[in-house]
Amino acid sequence: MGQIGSILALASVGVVSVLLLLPGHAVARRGGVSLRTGDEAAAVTNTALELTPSSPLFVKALLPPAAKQGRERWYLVHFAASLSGVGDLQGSATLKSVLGGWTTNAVEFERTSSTDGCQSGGVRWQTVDLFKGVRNRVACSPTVRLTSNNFVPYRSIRPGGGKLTISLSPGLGPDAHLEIAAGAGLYATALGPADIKLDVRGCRRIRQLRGGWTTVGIGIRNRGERPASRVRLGVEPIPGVHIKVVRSRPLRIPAGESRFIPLRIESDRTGVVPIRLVAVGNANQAAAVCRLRLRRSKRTQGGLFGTGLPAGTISGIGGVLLASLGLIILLMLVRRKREALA
Amino acid sequence: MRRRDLKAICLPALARDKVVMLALLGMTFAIMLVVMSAQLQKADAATAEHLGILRVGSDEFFNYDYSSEENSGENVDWAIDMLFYNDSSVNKVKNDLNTWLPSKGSSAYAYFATPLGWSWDSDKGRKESLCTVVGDNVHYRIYGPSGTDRFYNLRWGFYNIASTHIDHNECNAIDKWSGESEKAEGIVARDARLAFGRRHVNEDAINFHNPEKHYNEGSHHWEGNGYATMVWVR
Repeated sequence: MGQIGSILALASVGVVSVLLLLPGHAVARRGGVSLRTGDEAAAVTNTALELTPSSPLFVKALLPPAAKQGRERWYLVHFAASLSGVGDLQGSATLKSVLGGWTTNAVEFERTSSTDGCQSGGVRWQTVDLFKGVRNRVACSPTVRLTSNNFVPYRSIRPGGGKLTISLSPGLGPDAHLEIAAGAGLYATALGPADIKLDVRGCRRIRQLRGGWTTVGIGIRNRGERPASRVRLGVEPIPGVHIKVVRSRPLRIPAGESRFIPLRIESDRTGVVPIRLVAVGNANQAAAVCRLRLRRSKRTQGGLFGTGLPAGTISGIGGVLLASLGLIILLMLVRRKREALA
Repeated sequence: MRRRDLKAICLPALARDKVVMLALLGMTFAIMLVVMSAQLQKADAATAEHLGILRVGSDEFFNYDYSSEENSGENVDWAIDMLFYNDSSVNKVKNDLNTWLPSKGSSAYAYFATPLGWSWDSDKGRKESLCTVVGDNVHYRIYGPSGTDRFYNLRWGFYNIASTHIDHNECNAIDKWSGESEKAEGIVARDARLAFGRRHVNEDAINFHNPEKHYNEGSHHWEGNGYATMVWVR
């Protein structure tokens, strides 16, 4: 049952109030939502409700005396919204939720521009949260469906009574309707957000550039409690050094696991080369500096007769010379044979 | 005799035309000078002693903005000295401060981590007036990742970072300088109190590790205590 089991939640919309006594372990899994079995409903609505700028949605929750974000439990706000009649969108509008004075979720809608590729008008919406990171989407269909889940700021959770407000700013046209599905509200979970960290120990082992290039494996560890998704590794450009992230596709790293991404480094420089790295996932980013101490390998130092040519080129030239020598010997043999016959 | 009379009448008229022409040319030249000086105002890059990455919670950004998209300690513009948080976005802050800071300035650049790696954001910011001939013109620039124009973390909620400075005599070649960020920060904080409420502005509340003692680097007048003002945006 847990602490949340005894929570009494009161949801009210305008003058209509709905009293909910939650069973304690409400499994909240809605279509495509990132909530997991085990996430408990702290205070949620039990019916779908239409939201207008003049009638926000209020959900009241009584939180346990020791309630604190991130201590044993993580609190998150979830809502699923359906916006229809978007062709009528006049300017921009914001759908947001506020808990204890802190904004927890925010979705901004604006009319699409001609470059967005919608033939008969559509809506662009954008949001950022600790579940899916940055989302900036264009919907050309007359109805937009979206879900918003976000871990709430630390200071929005206080013991005792709290009020969650989901509101819509003016800006949608008179024919636009925004509906919040049942189940919107505050949830508690044992699983915190993903937390990625960079591991650059592999950089210490790189000493030599073979043929002007080398590879180094950069580790990304997810120390968090949920999977990190859309993880990418970014590199700050350095003059004279060509750095390529070998795996450019976004990664998914389960909780507690690591992945390695190789970097291919081609450098004209030797000595200490600091490579500034950032790994960015759905929930956080991590930066680190990979300090490479580069020197050219003895095989390539000076190159062929001190020309500075890399090993690959040297092999190629060697091959051509050998083939030429063979051809000359063959021609000489043929000539000698002809002379002997004559 | 008649021809001489004509000359006597026409010459002053011609002289008047010349005077008008010269005056017009002079005005055009003056306007060009003013425009050029306003353009040149931004060309100044400076050197930062404390350029570094700020790691706050899970976020990372550099604690100065830049004159162009080049991450170098010798290419900085001003220290990041303001933080708008809770429900901030670039447009929202600009709209809410528009009464006091309505005019566009020239672009500067901030550098931070985004889902696509390290990324630049440019902003022209807002200032008190378009171009002052005599006196101070407070200028702030506010940054956020493209796509959402706002960051999010558990400590600050939805937030943006900003830099401030004063453009002095910016449309005047005499005694023209930019800087005194500490003073500018105080003025933007005063405006923010009027826009967001007195108790929602906390001056010099957080250490951004970018102090600059009062000294002049050309027309770049450094001054900053390294602490940023926090503004709670409703």
